[in-house]
Amino acid sequence: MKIMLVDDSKTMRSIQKSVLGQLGYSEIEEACDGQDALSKVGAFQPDLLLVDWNMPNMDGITFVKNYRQSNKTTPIIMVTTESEKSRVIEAIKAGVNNYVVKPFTPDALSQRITETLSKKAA
Amino acid sequence: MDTQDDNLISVKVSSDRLEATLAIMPGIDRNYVTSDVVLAKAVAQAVQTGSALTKQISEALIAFGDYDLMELGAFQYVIAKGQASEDGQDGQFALETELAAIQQLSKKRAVQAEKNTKADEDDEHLDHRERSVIMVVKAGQRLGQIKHATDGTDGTDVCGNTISAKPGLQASLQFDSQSIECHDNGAVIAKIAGQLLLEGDSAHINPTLVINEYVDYSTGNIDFPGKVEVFEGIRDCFEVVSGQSITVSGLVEAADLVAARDIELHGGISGRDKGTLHAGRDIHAHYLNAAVCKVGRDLIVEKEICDCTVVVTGSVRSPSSRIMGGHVSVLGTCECGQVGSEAGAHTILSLGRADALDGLVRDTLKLIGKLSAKAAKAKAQMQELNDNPEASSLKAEMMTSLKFEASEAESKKKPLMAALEGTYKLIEEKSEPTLTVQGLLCQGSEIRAGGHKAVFTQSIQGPLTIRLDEIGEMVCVDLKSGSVTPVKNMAKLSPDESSFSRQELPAGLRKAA
Repeated sequence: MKIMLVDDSKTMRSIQKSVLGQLGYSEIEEACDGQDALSKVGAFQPDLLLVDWNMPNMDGITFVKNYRQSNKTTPIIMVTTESEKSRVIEAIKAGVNNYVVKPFTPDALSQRITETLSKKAA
Repeated sequence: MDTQDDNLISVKVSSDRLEATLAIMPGIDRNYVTSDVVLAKAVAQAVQTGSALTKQISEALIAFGDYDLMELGAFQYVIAKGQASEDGQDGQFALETELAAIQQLSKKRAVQAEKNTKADEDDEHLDHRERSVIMVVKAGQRLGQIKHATDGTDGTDVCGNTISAKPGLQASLQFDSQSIECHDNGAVIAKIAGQLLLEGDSAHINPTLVINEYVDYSTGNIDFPGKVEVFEGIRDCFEVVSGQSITVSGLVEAADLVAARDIELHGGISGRDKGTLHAGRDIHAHYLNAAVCKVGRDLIVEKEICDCTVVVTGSVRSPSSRIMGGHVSVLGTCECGQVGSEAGAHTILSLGRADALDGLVRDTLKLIGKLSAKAAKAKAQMQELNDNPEASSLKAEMMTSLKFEASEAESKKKPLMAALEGTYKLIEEKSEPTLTVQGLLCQGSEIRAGGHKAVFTQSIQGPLTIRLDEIGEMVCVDLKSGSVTPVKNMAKLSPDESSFSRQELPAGLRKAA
């Protein structure tokens, strides 16, 4: 299982990486913003993406819209501080499959990842 | 034909028949020397003809043209060469480099021992204890390579006859098929772990290491996966490590012995406060003197345990031995002949104690404390952030990071707590603070049990047992009459501050401890 982490905060990426490690995922690629992620998805071909909303250069929602033009199936979890209902709806419309609001606990993130992957498998 | 000239020219074939040489003596009519004459001489000697010979004769005659016979004497020129045969090479077994180095060192030490000389001057800087002369191998280890004998290459003499090459002899080393396997590609592999022995024409691996003399500079330190048997003793400062058991017939000096299973000393150890014995299971010995011993299971000593620091996780089963001086700490029961000495050697016996595990418990508790502090700090910082009503993405990220820190610390604590609980359950199950003395319990002896320490103010004649009663008080039972006396009537009692404080344990574990 290949997972891409898209977040401008190195600390957040390292927390996510650690949670994924505990779940047994080790094939992980990191990107520091939407643009960086777009340049890496082609070669890496992720099976799951964890994407932050607010990032420099290209934000998460723009990245998701761009990515969904060529890939409709790979699940995306938005990991963000944006918790307003309208923002969640905007994200879902853009093609996000699940949503984790910061601050989150490792257990909550792990639960969302498992949930998203099992939905995809079903 | 001019006979005189004909006698002055000849072609000679060497004794190995690999060279034919044209020889022309002074006084010959130079016109007589033609290629036909030389060829005829060569043919007369059965030299193989052909273009090569013709070419060599032409070159010889050119060289002869400039040659001054009168001044330089006889003219000689090789006109034909054969091809020497190349004999085959004998087969051999080439040891792997590191094993070959040990074998070399072993031979060198044997010579030094025979001549009674010391190590070479250029080796003086080396610690010879660290250089074992025993070829210890692991199962599956490559031991070396068999080089098969070769047939050699036939040669040809100047007459065109074949010179047969002598084929090499096959390697004569026989490998024991039980312990060594030889692959088709010549690789030789150990089937079992042990000592590789190359004796005469045979090679085998012995799973038991037998040392007929002392473990000293002639053997170096020993680190062996199987059983080790030493028929003499072990000298000062040497180490013997065995993956199984160690048996020593003679004296162990201030040396270190470590065995995964048992240590059996037909004599004993005279450790001069430096020697150590560490057995995963039992130690059997005639006596132990001034040594540190850690025993995974039971300690059986026939004569004396004197001035030793001993930690026994099982029981001490030494009904005829004296425990004199030093400190013996036992988790299970302790039976001995005498405790202390009439001369008042300070002897301490700690009963029902697992000193070997206490260190681990203390370290684990420290670690749990650190993790708890880390989690608490993260939680306090989270509280501070929560108290601040301002919402920002930075705050959310900081909260996530703190939650992660707290969660990580808590999850690391869990297995440590479980291990600690398991350890205490084990101690509780095995702890049996009972001392049985068949002979004399001498005045001045110190017995520690149940958090108390009793220094006996009088000598008590056995057989007797000291144990804890139902309320945890130390009592002495006279095994002849069956009478029970509180130890406080025969000894000075005080709290045992050396015993592990159960208050140091986290609340959930205090009960189990």
